Amino acid sequence: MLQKKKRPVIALAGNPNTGKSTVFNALTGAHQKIGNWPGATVEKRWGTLLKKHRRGGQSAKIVDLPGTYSLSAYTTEELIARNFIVEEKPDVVVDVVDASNLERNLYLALQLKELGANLVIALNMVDIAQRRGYKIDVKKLSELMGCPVVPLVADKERGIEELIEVSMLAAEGKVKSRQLSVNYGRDLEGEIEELADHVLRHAKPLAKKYGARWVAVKLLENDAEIISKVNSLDDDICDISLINFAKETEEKLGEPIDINIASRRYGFINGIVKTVLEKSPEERIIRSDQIDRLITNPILGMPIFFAIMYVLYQAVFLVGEPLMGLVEGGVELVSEFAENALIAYNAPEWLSSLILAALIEGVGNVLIFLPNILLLFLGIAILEDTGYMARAAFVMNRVMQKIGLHGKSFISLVLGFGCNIPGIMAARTLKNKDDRLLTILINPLVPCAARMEVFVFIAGAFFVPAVAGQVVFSLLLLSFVLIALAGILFRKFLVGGKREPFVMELPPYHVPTIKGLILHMWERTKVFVQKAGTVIFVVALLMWFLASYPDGVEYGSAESYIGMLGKGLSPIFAPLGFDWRGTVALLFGFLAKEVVISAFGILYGVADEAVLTDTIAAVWTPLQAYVFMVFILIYVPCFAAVAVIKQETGSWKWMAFAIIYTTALAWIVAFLVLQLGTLLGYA
Amino acid sequence: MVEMSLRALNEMEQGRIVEIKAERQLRKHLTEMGFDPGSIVTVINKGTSGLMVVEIKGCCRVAISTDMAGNILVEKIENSGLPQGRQRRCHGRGRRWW
Repeated sequence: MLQKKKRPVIALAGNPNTGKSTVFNALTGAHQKIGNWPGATVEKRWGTLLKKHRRGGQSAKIVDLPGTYSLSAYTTEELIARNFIVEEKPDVVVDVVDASNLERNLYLALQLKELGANLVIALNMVDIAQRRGYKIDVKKLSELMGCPVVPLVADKERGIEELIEVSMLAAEGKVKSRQLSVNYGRDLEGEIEELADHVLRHAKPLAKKYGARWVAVKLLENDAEIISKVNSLDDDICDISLINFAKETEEKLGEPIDINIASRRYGFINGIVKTVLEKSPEERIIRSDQIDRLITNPILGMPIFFAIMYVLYQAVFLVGEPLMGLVEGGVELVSEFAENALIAYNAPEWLSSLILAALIEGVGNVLIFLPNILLLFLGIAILEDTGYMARAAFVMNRVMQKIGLHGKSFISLVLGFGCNIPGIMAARTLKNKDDRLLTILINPLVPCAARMEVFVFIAGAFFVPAVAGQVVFSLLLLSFVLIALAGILFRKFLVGGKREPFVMELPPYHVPTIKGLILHMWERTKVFVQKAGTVIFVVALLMWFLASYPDGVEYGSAESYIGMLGKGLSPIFAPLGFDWRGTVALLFGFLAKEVVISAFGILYGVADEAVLTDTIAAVWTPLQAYVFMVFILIYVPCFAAVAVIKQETGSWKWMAFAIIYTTALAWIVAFLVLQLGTLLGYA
Repeated sequence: MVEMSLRALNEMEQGRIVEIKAERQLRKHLTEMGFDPGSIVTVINKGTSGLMVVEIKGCCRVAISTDMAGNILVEKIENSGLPQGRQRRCHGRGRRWW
């Protein structure tokens, strides 16, 4: 019988900013799965080799390992990458190496070899290296690293076919590959040998899994995970002796062994780089530095950042407006068509109302924002992929420090303007637990696109266009003030004062690829669309039901369930001047902020947006409207965001805290604004 | 050879890393990132935002807090290995040109 060939697993490793995700995209296309590595808030991506790349129909599973500088256990990412290679034993590990940054990148490659991975080096961005005048002897590099090396320009999909071919051959064990062993120097080698011998005798399971020499080196490097693994072995006496051995060696040699070992590895790599790389001395990344001087300039840096953000927002609304009109027209068309069909088929009234009011209006009202959100995320993807975002974090570092946050928190805040969910998830890049928690807790205060739409709608109803713009802007300023206050207070009273030291690579500027941008944009917008399709759909149904029953009541009137609910809860909001309709709208806003507008439509029994604005404007005073917007700005984020807070903090306690503090703060600030406004005579 | 902290170097000056004074984990991380003893760093940009940009391994740009740079000990390289042409160009452009 014909035996089906096992589908090989190819793992992608590499430093951050080497174009690893571009390679991953080229191999898997859009068919990617995203999840979490078990037990960690680190993103896991995997996918299947694209059909067009399959030779002889042979498929492969591609796993994208987190981007790391090494395989020590400093960060969770490093540990995940290492464990995957050891535990899952991928058939091939492809290390994506930046050709213009060979020395630093080969450090990881060397560690992968030491770990015994079946390595293929993908030498990426050879075009940039060439332009800088680097000449790399690929054959020699392959020889010295003891594994195949494939030159690549992943951006332009050059070399991808070769990479797949070589990887597949490597998976079948058909390429030349040899063990690589770094000489750690006479003194250390003796110790390593002796320790490896101990490991072989007393820690057999570990020796079998990792190799005795590797375990010995890691013990000398004081690797926390390996030490704890040794500790958990049964053989107590020799565990202690193994660890003590490492300590004694350190004392004997009188220098930090881990640094010594890392230096030796770099020394080894340096030797290789000297042989394979020819560099003309004049060539450096001068232009990138010059741009940096301007962009990170102490005086101009911040104005430049705000100018870029301003242009981005203007562009989003400029391009987004007509697109929103299109979507709106589309929704209307569907609505009309449905109405006619319902009449033609003599559908019962409740069904027509369900379909028209709940489904089409409810979901349609939210989908209208889709173009703006897509564009905003496209803009942010451009800022990230060109390398600007790292500079923005650099520029904003001081401000962030002042308000208790970390420079890198800034990226999370910027993303929050699109949607708080990717914003909260971006806090993952922070290694320090306190920094991360703080960044997550603060993010709901950033007004997401959905809330901005509600503001634009309400402000548009109550104020003339020129003033409406200022009103929305004032809300934005208020959110900045609150973010700063919350940051300072939380840092002082809630989390520890220890901050992660700031070390961040500034990737050279580069022109992003369309494909990369679109994938990047889509990943984040997907959350929003899924929300529209699921949560908001269900909410719209629920709202419709509550507004239509008990049987016989007028749709959305005070006698309906929804009216009763609002009336019951309105005492809480009475001091803020919200009536039961406002209360209901806020309740539904917890499910999704965009729903507030649809809720008004249902509560006032008008579907048409233009009529709706007039209706609301007749009932409320401008001050009431403003107070309402202030409340919406601050109170509990939508429940999808709350779920992500739980997921990312891993704690119900912090989730509850996020819900309570935002809502309490919203109530207090709204109350103060109302009092102040009344005093000033705006009532 | 003068030993000083990385923080004390001026823009476009170079130093050879001697020692990183930090707790063990961080020290290791920095070493593996390319701040290994013996390798050369060049100060590219001393911003005022509490961060500075340095070049390591001859091409990576890394932003690092000045506090931490204060804990990295370097040996200053006099007449740094930068080609004269470049040095002049960078000084001409890099210094307060606004």
